[in-house]
Amino acid sequence: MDMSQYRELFLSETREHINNLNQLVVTLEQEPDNREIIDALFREAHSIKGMAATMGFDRMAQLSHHLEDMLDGFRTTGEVPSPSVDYLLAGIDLLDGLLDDLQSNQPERAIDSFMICASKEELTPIAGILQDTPEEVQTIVAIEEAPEEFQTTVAIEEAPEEFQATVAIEEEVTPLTKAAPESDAFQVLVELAENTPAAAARGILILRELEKSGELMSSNPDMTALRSGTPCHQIQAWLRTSLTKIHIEEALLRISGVAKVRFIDDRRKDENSIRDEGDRTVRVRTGLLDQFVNLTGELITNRYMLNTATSARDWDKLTQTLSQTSRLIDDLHHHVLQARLMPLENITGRLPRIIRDLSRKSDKKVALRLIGAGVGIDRAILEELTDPLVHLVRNAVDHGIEKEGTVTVSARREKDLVLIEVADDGKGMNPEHLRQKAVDRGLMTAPQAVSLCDRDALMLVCQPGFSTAETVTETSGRGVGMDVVKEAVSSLGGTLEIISAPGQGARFQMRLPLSIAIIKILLVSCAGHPLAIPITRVQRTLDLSTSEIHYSGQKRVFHLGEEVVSLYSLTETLGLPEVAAGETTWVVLTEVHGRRVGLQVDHFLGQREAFVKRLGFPLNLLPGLSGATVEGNGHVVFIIDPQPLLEDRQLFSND
Amino acid sequence: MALTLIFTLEEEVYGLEIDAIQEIIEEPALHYVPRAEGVLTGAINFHGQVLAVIDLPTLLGFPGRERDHRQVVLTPEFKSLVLTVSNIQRIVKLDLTTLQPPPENTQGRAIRGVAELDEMMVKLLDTDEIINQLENQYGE
Repeated sequence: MDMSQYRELFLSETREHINNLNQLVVTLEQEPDNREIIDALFREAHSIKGMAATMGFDRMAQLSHHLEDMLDGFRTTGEVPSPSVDYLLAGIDLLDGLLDDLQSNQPERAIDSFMICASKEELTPIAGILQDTPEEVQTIVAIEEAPEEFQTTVAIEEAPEEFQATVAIEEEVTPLTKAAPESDAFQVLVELAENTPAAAARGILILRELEKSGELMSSNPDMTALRSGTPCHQIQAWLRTSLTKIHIEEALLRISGVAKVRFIDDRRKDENSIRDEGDRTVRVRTGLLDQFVNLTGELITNRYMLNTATSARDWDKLTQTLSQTSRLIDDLHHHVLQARLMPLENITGRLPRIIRDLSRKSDKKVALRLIGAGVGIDRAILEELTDPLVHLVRNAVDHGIEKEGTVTVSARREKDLVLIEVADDGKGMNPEHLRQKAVDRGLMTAPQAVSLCDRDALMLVCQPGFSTAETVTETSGRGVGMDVVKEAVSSLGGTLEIISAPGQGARFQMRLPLSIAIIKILLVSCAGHPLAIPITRVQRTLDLSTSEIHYSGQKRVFHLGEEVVSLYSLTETLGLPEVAAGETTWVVLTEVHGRRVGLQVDHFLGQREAFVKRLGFPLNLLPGLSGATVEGNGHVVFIIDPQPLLEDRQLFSND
Repeated sequence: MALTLIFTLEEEVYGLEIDAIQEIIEEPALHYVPRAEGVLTGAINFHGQVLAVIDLPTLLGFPGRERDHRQVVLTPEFKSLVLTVSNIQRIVKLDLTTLQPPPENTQGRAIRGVAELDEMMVKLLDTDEIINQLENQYGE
């Protein structure tokens, strides 16, 4: 039985179990005699063991079995001695490492040293070594080779019910890495005769034939590509079948246009191709799927109503049905986006463990509060957010909290955005220090620094190479700085803001779009060309009268409250011919490297939602273009990112 | 024998293998690309995909402004680039086994070789080289 289809499910579920283990152990440390937590830990380890054994991942099964045994022992005694907590955590780290190996298609790392430590049953001294250096232990462990002949003793019936339900469909279990003995996997190369008419159609016939003869694992081009009419001259396919090659060759040669059939045997490649195949998965509630089905059903009904109304030329009916259709499409769109959403807890799950380790290393007492971990975010955004979030939390412990304090990670919806905040109640940031540091570092002149408002001064920490810590600490390291966090947030179409004052803690707020495929844009025009700016990049729009614009040297500026804001012309930045200035100047207020700037445009054309099309080569290489959208009339409008555009311009003017 | 689309540029005959062509389209609406310059003249909406339009005569170093109203969309293998060409002639069969190396004076012009056809010398375009040149020009 081919288990590859369960691989993604396995990876994501196991990751979840490991997350839970980490969280539970941290809680256990605070309540060492809480039976319920010990039971929960046992169940998590048991689940991993069952799943890993089913998938044929022997070492993971062995290790989780070992952890499970240990936890079972604690269940009997009713408490967990504190050295064992470190040992447990080291074991969980090793599990995590094994999972990384499996995810990246590497062989599982060795676990022998860890297991040997355990068998001596001298947990205390070992735990002492393990305490703060799980990484080191892993490197030592990795050198040794585990015996290959290790046999898993775990039978499939031990798999947790929810997993078993999916695998129980077939009885025979074959580990992913071994081909089933009675079937053989190989690559088939089918070449079409030159100038074969309707090559794509023949390709489809070939794939159908291959599907009939066994299990078609993958092909290039695949069915979808062929259906869309991709021309092909040869088809590469991976096939697992019990039929003989001669048999398959004969069947394929019967299809007209097939010139040649070749077979390539290569087991290793075969495994890779299965493993590369896996698409990333997202779990969808069945209720949501039902809604898809219902909505699609309604849309189908609507289509017939539209047909009828059109042939009857019943305008009232037509208008009415059209508005119904558009409501249904909105609804469908909303639900499709829902399906991509994953709760934030997918990445906050790691935080309790991180805080625990950080507290120990830095010898501070830090508590973690999580608020709104259930808020859903597009999975693509969530994945990119993991590192910035961890970095902010580390920063909070390292640079914010002095001896004792709380780090609060909270998330909430704000209209079309998600606000994720990492706050600490530590010593806060001093804008005056930051200004001074910027001058010391030669990033700006003293008068420039003075002209920065506090809000902008705080954002100085996001400048590459800027650091407020006097010494580089082990935990934050400062190698990856706030500039990386800022970049990551920007590349997702979000913004970063810092709110802090001396003695009042610090709040790092990331505002992110809910989904990246569909965004709200502001349409503007320059020299007659429409352009789109993501709303997340627009702080506000302004209309300035000529008298409000002043000159500071060559630069145009205007006042916004206390602040002096530079004004640039988007038309000029794009190298388009300038239109003579009228009475009113239309300005988009945006942000470049933490500083507000005004971007003058010819007209505002309004706001709308846009489906972002990714740019192909070489459009994707142009600075300042983040995508394009196609308007109702088929016109292509490019989405611009003001920051790189203006950066380019500044480079230009400095030359 | 390879089916090849031939077109003329001033006095020279150029060929583009049919295998590299996805579609030939009539006068698509050309849309403005911010900051586009050089051989990148705009973008078109091709069945909902946004594709870059490359001016082939300019890329090959011809100053003339004469262009065909049709444009050539390359296959996804060649990034679905849209090429503006001049004077599309017809599709011919070229014998690629007799392909000669490109003449000295055409180096850097993205020509794979020269084939003879009815006493005409057809310069066969090198699509990979076109992409290389674009990468060099726009990447950094």
